[in-house]
Amino acid sequence: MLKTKKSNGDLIIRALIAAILVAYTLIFLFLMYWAITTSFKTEKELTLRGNYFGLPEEWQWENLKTAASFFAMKDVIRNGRTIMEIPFGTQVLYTVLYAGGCALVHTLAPILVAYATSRFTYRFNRALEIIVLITMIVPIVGTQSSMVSLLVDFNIYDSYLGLYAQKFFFVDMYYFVFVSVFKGVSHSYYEAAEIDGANEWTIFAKVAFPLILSSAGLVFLLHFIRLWNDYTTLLIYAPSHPTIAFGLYQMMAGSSSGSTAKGQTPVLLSGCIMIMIPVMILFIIFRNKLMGNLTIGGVKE
Amino acid sequence: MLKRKKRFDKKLLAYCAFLALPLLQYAIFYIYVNFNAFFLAFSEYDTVTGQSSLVGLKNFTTVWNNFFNSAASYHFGLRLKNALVNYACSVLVGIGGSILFSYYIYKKQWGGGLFKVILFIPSIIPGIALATIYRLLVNGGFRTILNEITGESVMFLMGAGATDSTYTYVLIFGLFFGFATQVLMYLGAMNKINPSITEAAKLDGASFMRELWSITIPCIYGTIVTFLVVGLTGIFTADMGLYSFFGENAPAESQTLGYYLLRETRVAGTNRAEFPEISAIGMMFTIVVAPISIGLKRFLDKKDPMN
Repeated sequence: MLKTKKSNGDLIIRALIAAILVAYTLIFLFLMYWAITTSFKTEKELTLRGNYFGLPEEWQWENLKTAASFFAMKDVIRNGRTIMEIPFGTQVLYTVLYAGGCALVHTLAPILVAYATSRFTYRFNRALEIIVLITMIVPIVGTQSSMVSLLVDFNIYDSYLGLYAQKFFFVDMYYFVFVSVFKGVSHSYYEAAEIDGANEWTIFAKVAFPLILSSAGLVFLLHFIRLWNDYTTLLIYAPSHPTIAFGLYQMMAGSSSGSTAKGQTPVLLSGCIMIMIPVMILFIIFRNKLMGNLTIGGVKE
Repeated sequence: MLKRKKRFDKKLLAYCAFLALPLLQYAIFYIYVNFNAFFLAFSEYDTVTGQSSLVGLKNFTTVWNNFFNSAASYHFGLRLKNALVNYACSVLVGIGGSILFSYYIYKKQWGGGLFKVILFIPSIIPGIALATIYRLLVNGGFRTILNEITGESVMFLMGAGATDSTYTYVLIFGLFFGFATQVLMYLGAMNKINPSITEAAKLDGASFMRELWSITIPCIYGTIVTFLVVGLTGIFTADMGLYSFFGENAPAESQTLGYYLLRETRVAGTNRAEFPEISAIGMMFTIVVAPISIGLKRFLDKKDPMN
């Protein structure tokens, strides 16, 4: 009897969680449906005729083109000089340079350190581990101004060199991921390469790195997506290199330095859809890898 | 012997070569930047001569007065309150909800695979796009429906002219789309629990929730502690997406300390005269949050049910 009561309780709790998740799913899907359908409507259809939630009366494909033109930023100042305009196409290029370049160096730095500490056994390895742990645990707030000051002093403010130099940072939770991956590589591979006369760089590039390529690729992808979506870093450190997320921010905020689509809901939503498409494609291709087993903080058994 | 020594040196050389650039970067972009921020907090920049000079605690006094002894102190109190409410909600709803959802998916319940995907997608959609869609829907169709139900004629639910409701909608946004990373992390941790433990619990007749409380949560305790501690720093750094919603013009009643710091930094740009005060704010926040974070971590580590 007790067992039946317990089972009923379990069933209710599971049904309750399922109901919350179903509601969550429906709300999210509705939000996406609304954004996609509205992005193809006219402003008049939306505000005057009140077609908020139905399908578009006529699909306005030109909204995408209009949105692309609204992304363009005018009178951008770089190195004290005013640039005429940064159009959508250039913003796409800047996005690839920012997200691709920064993801690459931010993946490479922990790989180099993790390889060195797992391949060679020196006492300094322990010091490095402590450095990483302290840096990750102690939160330091509000150092952006100091970073800007440094970049200006080095003459790399508002440049890709400055952004790449900042992101070549090895202290990261992925440092521990790479240490664990490299520790799983048998040292017999390295010894065989040594016998064949390979130097340390060749061993790293041709033996160790190919073995961790899958993990490195996943970390690169996670960084790439995060950076693709980021615009606040550029707002502070490279304001004249707007990415498309930055362009959408300018559109949304109606900044004086850019064209504005304020009050034009369908065009703004078209802009949103345009910057979502590339990451959604990446998600569809790599969804299993992206949603794989990531852990932090450890598991007790 | 000589050959052995030479080989040893080669290895040491390679070790140094692999570490050189990352450590140089760390020294400049982390250690120097932090020391420089410390120096800036105690200095003043003369825009005429272009020289910096030490001014003791002057910047801290200015910041303190701005926060506590002026008309602006009301806003500081609001920002702090908003940040604390956000932290409390993200602990209760964010961490609590994420654990429940992850556990549901981990136990391979109905629709688990689909829910995992749906919960994850918001983390890959650009925050600025998500914020734009949400704001337009809330201020558009949702407002119209709400006006019809209540019989009122509210113009906006978020933004200027909606000082009472903006924070609530921003908070809902953060909570609703904030599950992704946590769910994946908890799920990753849960999947590493030794199946023999859960099997033994099942044989002992442990219920769905009993297993969660007595086995799963203790096993993923480290991950929960990480989110609790990292979230604490968010009191001083999280802008709750306000920048994506409103740029530099978020309604005063909805601002947080993180938003304030981000906006001040952004507005200062490369104006060195502004850096000392911003650095002083950052340092004051760090003085508060660093010991609390470390203390909380040590306290929670001591309370680890598996120790």
